[in-house]
Formats: sequence, structure tokens, C-alpha cells
Amino acid sequence: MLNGIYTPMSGALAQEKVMDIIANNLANINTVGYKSENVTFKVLEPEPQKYYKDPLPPANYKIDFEKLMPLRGNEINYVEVSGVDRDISQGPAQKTDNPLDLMIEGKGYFSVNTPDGMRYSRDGSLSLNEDGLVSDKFGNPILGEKGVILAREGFQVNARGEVLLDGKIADRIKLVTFADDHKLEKVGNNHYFWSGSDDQIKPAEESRIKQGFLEGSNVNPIKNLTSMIIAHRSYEAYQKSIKNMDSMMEKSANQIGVVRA
Amino acid sequence: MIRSLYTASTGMEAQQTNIDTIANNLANVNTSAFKRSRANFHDLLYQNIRAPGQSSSTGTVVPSGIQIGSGSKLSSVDKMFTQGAIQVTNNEMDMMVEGQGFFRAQRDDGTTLYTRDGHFSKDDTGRIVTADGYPVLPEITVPSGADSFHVGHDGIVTVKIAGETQEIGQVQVANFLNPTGLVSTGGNYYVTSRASGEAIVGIPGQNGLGRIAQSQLESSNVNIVEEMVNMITGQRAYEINSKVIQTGDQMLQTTNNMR
Repeated sequence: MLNGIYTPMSGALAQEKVMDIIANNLANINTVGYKSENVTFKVLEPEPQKYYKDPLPPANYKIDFEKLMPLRGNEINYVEVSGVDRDISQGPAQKTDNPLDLMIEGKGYFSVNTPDGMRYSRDGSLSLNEDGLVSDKFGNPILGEKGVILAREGFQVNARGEVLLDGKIADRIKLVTFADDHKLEKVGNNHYFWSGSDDQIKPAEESRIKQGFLEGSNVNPIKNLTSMIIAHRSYEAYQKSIKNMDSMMEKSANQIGVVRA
Repeated sequence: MIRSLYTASTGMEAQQTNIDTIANNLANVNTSAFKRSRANFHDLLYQNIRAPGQSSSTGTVVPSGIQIGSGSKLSSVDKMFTQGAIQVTNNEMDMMVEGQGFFRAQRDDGTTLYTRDGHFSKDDTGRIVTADGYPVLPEITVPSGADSFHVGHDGIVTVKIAGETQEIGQVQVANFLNPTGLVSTGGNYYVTSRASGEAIVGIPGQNGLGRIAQSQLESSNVNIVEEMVNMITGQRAYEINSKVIQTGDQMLQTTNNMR
């Protein structure tokens, strides 16, 4: 009886997490290069409960399988968030006509050299600093294959990601892919962090760059609002269930177990 | 639960700034040489409940972790220095930079101002001044009695005095490695900052600097359709985030009514 109340509670807690994820998706509905996230659940099965004959095993305790009551698994299932899946599909192209806006078409990430180490990003809204160094909005340089990119005489990038200077190819934007995109960690500032080894990072050969475009957020508002309604109503249902359990326990305590004079 | 309320509020705050930026763009749709701004956003820190790639209790590597984000934030409001449309005014004192570059003017306190707005006139001594009366650098004085004021593509100013053509000066333009780093001071003026770099002053039409076009003004580079579309998406994003707050509030309410 008492255990039963924890099942809907685990469900309600899981739905809270869903709400947090949806809130973050919707807060980033206009964030360039943002990738939407989805929650997956799993059934959390607790350890099977063992029933011994005596509350404490005797001193000369020897496992006697016949005398032991059969192991009984716990029938009560709890639910838990098992993971947050990232939707890495391409976001919508937004035309900006700004030469410092780049969009990656296909897989791949920009390489950003931050003071904390290498970070990767899909956000191609770039800036220049006072020396003409191409950087992200926080001043971290965006790397080319030859290192940092200087754009003193205008910034021109072709579809292959090659940076043109005076009509000649000076460098190429360093686009990388990973063995498994889902293992990239989001660290804020539109950056991703790769915790795996460096040999799992490969150049993104097939991706193309579109100058004057930005990749919008791939958050689907309809999908997220629908998920939000579902999360909201499931949360309500779980709470109804908790309330039910409570009133059942109240009955057993106050009506069945009533002490009559 | 409480977190989703705050996450959504960061989204609302970001969209509010977005609308503010769009409002300023639209208010300046007829300001000559106005450059539109754009708000950029980034996501905030993530709470790592379980990092992706981490080993689970059973020894397997988890394919996707549990990271819960905390919303979005404004990362910058950038000026877009694209060329505005040409407006022929037939006023001989109007000038426009065709291409990159800024006119220079001097404020009373000695600060050099940079502007794309070439709506110039003459003051009482004949000096070429901006619409606010600040002298254009280098100072050019039109002598009295001069007529047929002419500015060439290279900025050379000539006038006719007593039927004779005479050169009285040359308009210069300045450019920056990073014009987006300039600070807008209002009145269509910009001043330099650490991010913009030093001004590179030169002769119009040379070293990538724009040419001067006389009797023309550069109109605002605000595109009304684009701003309207941005406004719609901004407003809806604001609305959606407010819905998240409402839902979070209702969920808290059900919790409160549990007993």
C-alpha cells in the first residue's frame, strides 16, 4: 500500500523533467543553431525483495534454498528519465544577406577556440574583432584548417567552405563531425563539448557552407506545445493517483482500523 | 518544476529585447543611412544529471545523457552594415558613400564622429557641416560668391568663382576592420571602440573604400517585410514562453491541491 504511492510520484517527477526540457526548447525557439531535445523514459525495476523466514539469519546461518521463500520480484514499477535525445536535423535556413553569417548545410560543426579549450558550434553568426579576426559572438576565434582566419579585406566563403582573399583560396573553414553526435555535451553559449578522444573527430567533407544565411532553431513549437499539454495532464493524473492512494490509506487507518469503544 | 518557470522567463526576456530591437529598426525606416540591428541569442548553462558517454551502473556506456538547459539569453545586438537604397535628392550638398566607409565629423569636445549620413549643409562661415552643425573632417570652406558646387567620385570638391573652376578640398572617408564594433551615439553618428579598431582614413574609391556620390542620400537599410516577419516570430515565441509559465503555474497549483 505504502509502496503504491511512490509509483505515481516517480511519474510526476519524470513529467517535471519533461517540462524543464520543453521550457528550454521553447526558450530557445529563436536561438541560432539550437537543436531540440526529447525525453526518453525507462522502467526502473527495484531489486527483488528477499523474504527470510526469520527477521535475522541465525549465527550458524547456512543458505538452505528449500527453506528460503522463493524470491519475489517487486511488481511495482517506477518510471525514470533515461536520457535526453537530441534532434540533430537541419534547422530552417534564414536569409540575412550579412556576409558574416554562415550556415552549415548537412552534418558538421564549426571549431571554436575558447579559453577553456576547443568547443564546437552550429551557430554561424560570426563577428570580427578589432584586428579583423573572425570570431563568434563571445570573441572566441572560429578556426580554419590553417588556424585562425583573418578577414581584413572582406570575408568571402564559397560553398565548399573555402575562405577567399583577393579571389584566391586562403583557408578553409574547419568543419568537423564526430563518431556519435549524441555524445556531444551542450555547455551553453551555443557551444558543444566533446569528451571523447580526438581521433573520433573527423573533417566534415560532404557538408556545404552557405554565406548570408543562418541556421534557425529546429525546435518545432507545435510538437513541443503538444508534449507540454501531455506532460501537464499526465502530471495531473499522477497527482490524482497519489490523492487516491492517500484516501485509500485514510480509509484503512480511520475506518477499517477504527477503535470502537 | 520551478526551473521551467525560470527557463521560460529567460525566453520571454530574450524575445522582449528582440521586439525592442525590431521596434527601433522600424522606427528608423526612413532615417537616412540608418543601419538595422539584429539581436542574437545563445543557450544558457546546462545541468548535467548524467553526461552523455558516461558509464552506467551496469557497465554500459549511456548513449544519451540527461542534460537540462536553463533557457536562452541575448548574446549581442549587431549592426548590419549593408548598403541602403539610393535616394536621389538633387540637393548639391547631399553626399553618399557608395560602398564601405564613413564620413568624419568633429564634435565640439574634439571627439571624431563617424557617420554614413551625408546630409550636409554650409554654416555661416561657409564650412561644410553635418545636419547637426558639426564640421566635416577635413574641414572644407566654400568661399563666398562661389557657385556650381561639385563633388567628384574621389571626393574632390570644386567650385566656380568668377567663372573659374577652383579646387577647395577633398572629402575623406574612414573605414574599420570591424564596423560592427562601432558605438552608436544617436544622431546617426558612431564613435570608435576597442572592438572596432582604429579608423583607416583614405581617399574615396581607393583601397576598398567607397566612392562619393553627390546629390544622393543613402536611405535606411531596414527591410520592412523582413522586420515584420521577425516581429511575428518574436511575438509568437514570447507567447509560447508565456504558455510554458502558465502551464508550470497550473502544475504547481495541482500540487498544492493534492491535499
